Amino acid sequence: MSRYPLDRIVVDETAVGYETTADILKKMEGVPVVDHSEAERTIGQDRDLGKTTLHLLAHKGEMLKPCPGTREYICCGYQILHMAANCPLDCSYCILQSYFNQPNLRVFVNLEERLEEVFSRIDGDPDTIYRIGTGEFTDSLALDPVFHWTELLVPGFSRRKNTVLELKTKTANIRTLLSLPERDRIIVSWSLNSPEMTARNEHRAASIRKRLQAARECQREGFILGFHFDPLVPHENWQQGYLETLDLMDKYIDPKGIIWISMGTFRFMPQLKQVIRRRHGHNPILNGEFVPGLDGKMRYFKPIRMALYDFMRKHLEEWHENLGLYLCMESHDVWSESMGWSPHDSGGLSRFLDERVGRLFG
Amino acid sequence: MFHEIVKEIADLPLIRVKLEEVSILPGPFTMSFGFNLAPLSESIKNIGIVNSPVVSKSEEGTLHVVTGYRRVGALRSLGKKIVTCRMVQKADLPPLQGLLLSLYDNLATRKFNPVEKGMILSRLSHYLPRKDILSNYMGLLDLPEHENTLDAFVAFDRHLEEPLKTDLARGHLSVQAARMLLGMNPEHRCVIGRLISDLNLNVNQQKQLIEYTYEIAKINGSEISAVLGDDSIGGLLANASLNLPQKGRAVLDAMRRRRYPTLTKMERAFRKKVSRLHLDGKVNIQPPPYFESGDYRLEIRFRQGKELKAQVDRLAEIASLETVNDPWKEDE
Repeated sequence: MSRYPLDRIVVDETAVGYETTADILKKMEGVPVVDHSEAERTIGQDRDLGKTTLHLLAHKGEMLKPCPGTREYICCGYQILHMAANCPLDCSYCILQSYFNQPNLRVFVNLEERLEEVFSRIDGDPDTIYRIGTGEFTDSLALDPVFHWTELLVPGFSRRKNTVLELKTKTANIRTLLSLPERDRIIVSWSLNSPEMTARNEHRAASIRKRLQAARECQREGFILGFHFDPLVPHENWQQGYLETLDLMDKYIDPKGIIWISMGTFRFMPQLKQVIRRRHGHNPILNGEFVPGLDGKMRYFKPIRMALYDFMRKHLEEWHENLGLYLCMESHDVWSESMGWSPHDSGGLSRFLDERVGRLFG
Repeated sequence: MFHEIVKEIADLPLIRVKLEEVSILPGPFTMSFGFNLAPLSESIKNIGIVNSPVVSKSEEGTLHVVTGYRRVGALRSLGKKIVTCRMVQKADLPPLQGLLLSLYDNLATRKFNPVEKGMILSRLSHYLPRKDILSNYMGLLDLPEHENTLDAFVAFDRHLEEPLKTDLARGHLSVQAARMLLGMNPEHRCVIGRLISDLNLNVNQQKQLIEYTYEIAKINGSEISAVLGDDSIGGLLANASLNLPQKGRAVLDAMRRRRYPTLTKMERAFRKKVSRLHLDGKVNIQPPPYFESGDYRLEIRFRQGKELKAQVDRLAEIASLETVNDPWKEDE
């Protein structure tokens, strides 16, 4: 049922009685169901963050959360729809490895009932553009073949004129999405990197070519696209590597149907370093010149970041002049020097992106 | 059971035993490492032993110290031939009870160093579940009840090499640094440990040296010994014009330059630019940490407003002040 190695299921007591729970257990018949204490007991290095354990539970906290930006850098004002925590993909640089303090692939079975409160919040605030995504705390589409999240989310969001739903992925799992009739207000986005970075770091994810082929299919089927070059990493021959990806974008994608392309360089909370060393010891991702940022995260030294952005911006703008390029969590001076303009603050960036929404969706 | 055994031992008569009959090996109950016998010997020389050691006797007749290993050692160092002690039959003293007896006896009189804490936790872990050790013994040893801490201290006992243990016990190697070294192979950690000890680095410097060394080795794909055996480091260590703290700082600076070539190059460029301004010694211009915030800082030291005014006037006349900016911009 899943393309990812899910070898056991934990059913939290809060998940009992939900139709979704019963559906998932039926779909995943044959995968052993273990009790909570057994799951806790065996979550050690042997099970490694519980990436192969599907943990069903009802989410009690906020469903819509502002993206965890910080005052010190310019943030886009994105909202995260919290439908699951952790990810079946295994990217060596992934911040989720140290972000959540609980293991397992945690999927919220009460998404459907909690969506109502999300919609009522959106409807009660018609003058605000809600840019909402599901791809921050998990991959938006990796488990769609199992959970059919898109069937649940797309119709409701597509109807609302003051919102867009961004489904961000590193996979090519677009079948369920394409089978739906709705297109309006839905953005399908792919995280991109150089082919070499992808091969070395984005374990279990689709290749760049496959991602872009899936993107082309979505575009042909009428979806608006987004792309995210995040994390940009200055690896060996990185210019060549990123140009290869841009060539593939040129080959497969019509740039006029792109709402935005974000860029962000690799950054991480200091505690992630130990996790990466333990889980991906030989990976060179930590070899860069990282310095403490104003938000406590480690970032590449500023001129290194600017060189990456400047290179990408130049080449992306050569491809098309109006791609909605923006930087994720960067300062005004980095914006100015590498992008040639700056939104000055988070409000400015929000307005820029809201305008992109208006332009592409009306 | 433990309290009964303690009471029974306390009721045992004091006997005189020849020191030569007591094993000099630490045995299973001793929790002393890296100690200095001199103060204790001095005390015993003056007032003798107030709290008598306890020894256990095996079926073969071998005597091992249960508690009082350092006292027995001090007597030996003083050239004494006899120790007055209590003797318990080995068969009457289960290992855990012996260990606890020694622990509580020591706890009443002294603090343990990190290696000794590791010895205690390592031995307790043979007899008690982790949960018990975490909740009942970590606190006794002034340690947080964290699994990682328990694992690290047990590893100090089981895996650290003798010279590193000695440095750790004496405080020449910090607990944090020792924990970092545990992740390396024995040969590598001994090389770094020796340099830390030779340079007498402080806690932060120790961490920096380990981080820099580990990361440079990883980036270059070389051995740690090769990183630290580099000619530039060797030259600094051999430089007779530098004292020990200066050598420590120089080595760390050299390592930092290797680990952060772009950052340190920009720092140098900035310093050079500021030095060209020929500022008064009481005026200082500092870049933001790591050049990240973009806000530079001007500091003027003065005693009176008049002096401040004069400094500001002088500054206003320096036209090249306008060149103070992000150093990479000059490189463009």
